[in-house]
Amino acid sequence: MSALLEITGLNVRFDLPDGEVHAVKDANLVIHPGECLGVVGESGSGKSQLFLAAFGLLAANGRASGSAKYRGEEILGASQKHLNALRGNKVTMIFQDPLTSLTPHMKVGAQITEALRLHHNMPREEAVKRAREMLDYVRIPESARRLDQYPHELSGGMRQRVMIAMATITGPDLIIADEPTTALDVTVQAQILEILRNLKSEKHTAIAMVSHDMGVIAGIADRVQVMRHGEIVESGSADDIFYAPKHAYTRMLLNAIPKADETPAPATEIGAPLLTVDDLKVTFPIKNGLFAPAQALRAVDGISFTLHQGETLGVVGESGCGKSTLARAVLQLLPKTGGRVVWLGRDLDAQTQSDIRRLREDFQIVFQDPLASLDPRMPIGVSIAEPLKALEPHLPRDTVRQRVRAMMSRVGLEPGWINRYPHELSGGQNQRVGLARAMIVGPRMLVCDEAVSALDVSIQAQIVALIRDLQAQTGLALLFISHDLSVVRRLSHRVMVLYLGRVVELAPSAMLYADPRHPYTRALLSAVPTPDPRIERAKTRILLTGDLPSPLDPKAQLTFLKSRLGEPGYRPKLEQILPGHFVAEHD
Amino acid sequence: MIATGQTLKSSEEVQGRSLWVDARRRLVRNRAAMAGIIILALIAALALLAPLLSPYAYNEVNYDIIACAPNWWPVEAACRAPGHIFGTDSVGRDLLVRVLFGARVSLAVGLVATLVSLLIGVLYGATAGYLGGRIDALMMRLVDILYSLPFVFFVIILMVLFDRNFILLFVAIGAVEWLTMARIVRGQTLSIKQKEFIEAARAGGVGPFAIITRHVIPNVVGPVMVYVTLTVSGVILTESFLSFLGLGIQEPLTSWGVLISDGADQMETAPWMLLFPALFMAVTLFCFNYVGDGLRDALDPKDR
Repeated sequence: MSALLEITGLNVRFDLPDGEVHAVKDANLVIHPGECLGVVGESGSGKSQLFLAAFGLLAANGRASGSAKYRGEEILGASQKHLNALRGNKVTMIFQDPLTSLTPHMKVGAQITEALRLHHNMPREEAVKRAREMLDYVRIPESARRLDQYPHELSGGMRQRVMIAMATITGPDLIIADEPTTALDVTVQAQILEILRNLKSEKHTAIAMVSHDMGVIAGIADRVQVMRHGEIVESGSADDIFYAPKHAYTRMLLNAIPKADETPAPATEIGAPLLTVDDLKVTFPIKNGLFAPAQALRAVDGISFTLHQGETLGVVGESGCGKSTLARAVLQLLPKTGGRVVWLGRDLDAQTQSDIRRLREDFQIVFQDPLASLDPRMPIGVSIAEPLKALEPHLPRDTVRQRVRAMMSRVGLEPGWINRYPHELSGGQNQRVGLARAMIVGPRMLVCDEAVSALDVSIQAQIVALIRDLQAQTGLALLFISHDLSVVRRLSHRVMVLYLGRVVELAPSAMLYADPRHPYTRALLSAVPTPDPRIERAKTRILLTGDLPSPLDPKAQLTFLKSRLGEPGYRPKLEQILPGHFVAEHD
Repeated sequence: MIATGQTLKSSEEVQGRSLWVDARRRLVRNRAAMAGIIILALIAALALLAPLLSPYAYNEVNYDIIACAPNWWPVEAACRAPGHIFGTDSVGRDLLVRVLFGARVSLAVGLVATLVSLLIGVLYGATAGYLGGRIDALMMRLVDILYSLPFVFFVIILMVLFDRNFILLFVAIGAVEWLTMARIVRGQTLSIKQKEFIEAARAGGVGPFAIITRHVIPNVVGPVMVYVTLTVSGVILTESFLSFLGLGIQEPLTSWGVLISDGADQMETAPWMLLFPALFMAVTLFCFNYVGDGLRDALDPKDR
C-alpha cells in the first residue's frame, strides 16, 4: 500500500526577536489511505506546526526544510497555486476553535458550498443539495434551516460539525484534525469522535488526529506518534504505545492520566460542616432589545449541599450548567436571587459588605485561566501579598514579606521570583501563584473553579498533587469544580453532578463512578474517553443526541423526565436511593 | 522544585519591587524617552532663566529695528539686528526672549491643564466604569451635558463671571479636556472589569477603591498615555486660539501659539518670526510624544 502522506526529515524553525526556535526537529511520519494516525504531545511540542509546515501554512517567520510527499509528489515548497488545489479539496483541516475558523459574516450554507464551487465548479443548486446531505451526515438537526444561519447562531458542538461537513464535502483523502474536540464538552466530544470514526470506516478517509488527550487518541487512532519538544520520541501501533510504551515520556504521559482503578479518597479527616447551601438560586436577566421584557436565565436553579471540614466536594457538569455561577454565588462575588448560604452557622445574607470582606479570609478561590487571573502589571510577589494586605492591613511589611516567601516555597515556587511578572512564568507556575495567593490568608475552604483544566496533563497531575498536599496539611475543605470527570475523581470524597443549574446526582465518589443512576450521569461517564484502546473499541457509548437544551426553555429541566412534560414549571426532585446517594427523578 | 538552602539564602536578598520601580528602570533604559525628557528639561530651564540669559526684556520695544533678521540669517533681508540671535518682531522686541517667555506660558498650560484633565478624567472614568449600572449612567450623562456646551461660549462666561485671569485659562481648558479622557478611561475600564484578575482581587477581599487604583488604573495606562501626548499638543494650540480671540494671554505677555499666529502673518517678509517659535513647539511636541511612548512601554511589563 503506497503512502498517502509521507514526511521525512522535516524541520521547522521560527525566527523570533529572542533568537531562533527549532519547533519541529527531524520529524518522520507516514499516513496510509484510510488509517488514523494519532499525534500526541503537550502544548508547545510542535505537533500542530508539523502539519501546518507540510501544507505550506506556516506563519511568515517560520521556515520548513526536509520533505513532505503527498501521493509521492513533493509538496514542501510547492507553489501556492498547486497547494491551493490540494488544500480544502483532497486534504482538509479541522481546527480546535470552531468559532474562529468559520467566517462570522457568511452563512453556514455559503461556507460549506464554497469549496465545492471553487474546486469542482459545481452549480449552486447541486452544491446546496450536497451541503444538506453532508449536514445530515454529521447529524445536524433541521439541516435545511441551518444552511441559512450564521455561525454565531449555532452551538459549539454544532459549529464543529459544520467544520467537519466542510472538511468532508469535497471527498478528501486526508483530514487533519487539530485538537478538534478540545474546546467541547465531553458528551459533545463523544458525538464528534463518533462522526470521525464513521468517516474513517464508511468513507475510507485517512485522519491525522492531533491531540493532547491520550483518551481521545485511544478511541480513534490505529497508529500513534508521541511528540515532545519538537521531536517524535516514540511511534508505533496504538496497542504498542498504550500497552508497551518504551519511551519514558510516553510512560509519564500515560501515568499522569487518572486510571479507572486508582483509589482516590485523599486521607483527610472529615469534620464538622463548614458551609451549608440551601436552595440557592441565581438568575440573570437576558434583555432582548430595548423594550422587550427581560427573560430570566436560571443559571443556578435551586442547589442545596453541605461541605464539611477537610472534605472535597467535586462539582461536575458541562458548560452552561451553572457550576461557575454556583462558585461565585457561594463566595458572594455575584448577587443571588434566592436561597441561603450559611458559613459556620452565620447566614451570609445577614452580613454587611465589610463583614463579608473580613470573612473572605476563610474562603478563597483559584481560577481556571492562570494567566488571566493574575494582574499582568503586577509582580507575582505583590499579587500573592495582596489578599494578606487587604485582609490584615496592620501586618508589618517584614511579616508580609516572610509569609509570601514561605508560601511561595510551599507551593513550589522559587522565593527569589517575587519580582517576576505573570507572562514570564509558565501556565503551571502561574497556577501555583494563584494557589499561593488563595492560600496565604489561611482559608478554611478553597473553591477551585476549573483550576487545572487549562494545564497540560503532566502539569495537571502536579497541581492536583499540590492541592492534595495542601489539603492534607491544613484540613482545608475543597469545592472542586471541573468538567473533567477523571480529575474530579482523583480528589473528591463526594461528587455532585449538575445539569442546567440543578443537581441531578450527588453521591460519594466511589459510588457515583461505580454505579451512576441518573441517565445524564451515565452518558457523561460513558463519554469520557479512556486511555485504553481495547476498552475504547469495545465500549458501547451512551450518546446523548443533539445539544444541551437552552436554559431559557422552561421545559429544559424535564429532558430526563418526559412524563412530566405537561407541567412546565415542574422541577425534578432529589431522592435518596441509598445512604448518601441522591438522584433526581427521571424516567 | 523545592529550593535548596543555598538558593533560599541568596534569594533572601532579592527585594520586592513594585510596577512603578520596574517602570522607572525601564524608562531610564529607553534612550528616545530619556532624550525627550532631557530636551524638555532644557527648554523648561531656559524658559525659567530667560531674564538672566538675555540682555533684553520681553516687553522692550525698539522702533529702530522693526522685523529685522538676525545677523547670521543666510537670506537677503530688509534689515539686520545685530545682537538679537533670533531677530526681532514687528515692534522690534527681541524674539529669543519672547520665545522663551512664550515657553513659560505654553509649557505651563500644556502640562498643568493636561495633568488636571488626566487626574480628573482617569479617576472619574475609572470610577464610573468600575461601579457601573446607574452610577455609571448618571456620571456619563453629566459628561455628555458638559460636552454639549460650546467651548468658546463656556470660556466667555467664565471670563465674564471671574474677570480675565491667567489661572482661568487652566480651568477652562482642563474643564473641557478631561471629558474625553474620562470617556476613554471608562471604556477601557469596562473591558478590564470583566477580567478574571479583578474578580480574583475581589475574592481576595480587596475593596473597590483599591481595585480601581491598584488594578484598573495601571492597566488603562497604555491608551491613556497615547491620549495624553495628543492632549498636550492640543492644549497648547487651544491656548493660542483663545489668545487669538483675546480670551487668553494678553500683550505684552505671550505664548508660542500667539507667536506662531503673529509669525504666520509675516511669513513672507520675516520668516524667522514663524520659524523659531514653530521650531520650539515642534521639538517640544516631539519630545512629549517620545516620553509618552516611553512611559507606555515602561508601564507594560511584557515589553522588553
